[in-house]
Amino acid sequence: MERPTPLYLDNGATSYPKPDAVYDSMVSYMRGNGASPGRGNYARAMEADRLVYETRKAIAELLGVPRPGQVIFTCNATESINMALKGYLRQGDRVLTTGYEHNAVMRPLKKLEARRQVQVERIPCTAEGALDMTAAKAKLREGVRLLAVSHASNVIGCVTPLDEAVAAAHECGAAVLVDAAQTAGVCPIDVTAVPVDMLAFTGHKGLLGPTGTGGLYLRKGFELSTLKEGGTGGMSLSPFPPDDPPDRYEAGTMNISGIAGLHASVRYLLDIGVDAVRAHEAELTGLLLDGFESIPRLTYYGPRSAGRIGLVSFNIEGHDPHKVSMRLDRDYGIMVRSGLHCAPEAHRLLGTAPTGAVRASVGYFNQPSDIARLVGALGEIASRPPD
Amino acid sequence: MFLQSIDILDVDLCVQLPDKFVARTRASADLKEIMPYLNGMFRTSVYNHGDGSIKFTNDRVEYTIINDQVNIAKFANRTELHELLDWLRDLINDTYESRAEMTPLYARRKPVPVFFIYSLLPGTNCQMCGEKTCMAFAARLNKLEADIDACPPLSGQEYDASRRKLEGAFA
Repeated sequence: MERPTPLYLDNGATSYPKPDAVYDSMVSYMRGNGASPGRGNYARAMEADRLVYETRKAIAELLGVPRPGQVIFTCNATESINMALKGYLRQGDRVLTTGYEHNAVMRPLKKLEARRQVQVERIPCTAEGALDMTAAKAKLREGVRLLAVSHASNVIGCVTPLDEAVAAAHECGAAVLVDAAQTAGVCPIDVTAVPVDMLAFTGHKGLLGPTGTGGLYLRKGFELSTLKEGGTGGMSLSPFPPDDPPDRYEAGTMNISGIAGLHASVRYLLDIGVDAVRAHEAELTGLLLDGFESIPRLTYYGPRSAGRIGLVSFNIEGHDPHKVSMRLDRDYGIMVRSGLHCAPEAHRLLGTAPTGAVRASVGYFNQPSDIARLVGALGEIASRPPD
Repeated sequence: MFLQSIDILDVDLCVQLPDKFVARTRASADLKEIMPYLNGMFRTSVYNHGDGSIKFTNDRVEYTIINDQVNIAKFANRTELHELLDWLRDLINDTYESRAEMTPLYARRKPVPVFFIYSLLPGTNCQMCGEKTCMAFAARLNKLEADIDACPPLSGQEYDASRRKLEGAFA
């Protein structure tokens, strides 16, 4: 039997395809330069240095960061979140978070609960991801030192009202860490307008860059203890890391080929505009929700509103989500992700743990015809007995 | 655009401050024409019209420009160096664009004598400026390596007259 044309709808895990300029930029750096930035004094090392700086600058422009040096490169959002939580939280600190956090937040917090007796509390929220801000404010007033929130849930698709959360936290003297893994590049973000203290992002999802890239924005003057120590290319006589960001947090040679790709992808996003991406994905998400509502016995999760991001988790009554995903791939060539999506808390909230759900997630390069194809395939699967 | 770029030639450790760096860079245009305007802009500037050179300090970073050579000292790391070069390039281009409305200053600013500065400081050796004595702070002010704002007691009402005299001397 002929394999159907592949259709990628797992952009919530990692975006595919990337803009052509991303592949070109990576190959161009690897073949034509290949030098280590921040270390040598030869012209090519200086060029590599400039490439890294221009990437910081592009990201700063995209996220409203005042100075490029406030963008610290990491290998993904998980590393950024670990850097933020472990670098900021001290013995016995209280942390407030949501009930739909990814394991990138929950697992480091679990470790800090054991190692530093950090107390973790959650903001009550509905199955559609609406946070009880009255309860949140009451908890914040009880001496919380950090509010750690996802900008958007990778399961429910809801978007956290950051302006309200940040204002409430700062009023009570708590710092704010935002996990923007699902929103950087697909939702407008301005860390100057909404003054978060730390914002973690990854390069390979909405930013359309390669895997192994990511970063942490740090508000000016906001200092963390370091997650790792090592060579930074300067002040080598000192046994300690330098005081100033970004070098303080970037020990070791960076993923320059990845950063070269990220430079091209962020430039691409700046050219087309995040608003255009958001509008396109909102249109596709609307089609997805309309289509899902037409399928008997299919339940999708999260709000029916334009405010959600471009991913929708769902289940078909009587069907195992893993088998639905496998059938979509095998019989229709459609790639979606099933399971718990590394966010068991969110699935507990939805009542879908431990098996989870199927998640379709759109990207900038998907078209309405892709959504029609997925909806048609799911309609057929739902009308037949389970595997 | 008057100035397209300022390219880094090399970066080295700063001899004076072991946790800072110095860099030699080259501008894509001769900057002599713009120097009298920069001289009018920075009260810390030391301008030599005959040599075509200018030195000034901004936010603790030192800039020395000779024709198209730009030396920058006392920055924290290469990322900051790139930020400073972007800032300087934009400043020079904005100045060039607005030069018709600006007044160039060709005269060389005279250094303010150390003892004159010292006589206006509180003389308490409180060390809040980071120096061990008021005399050491006066010497740094004389060399344009510090700012009078670094002395918190000078902001007090009792030193109001001294502060105004110092501001006048450095204006």
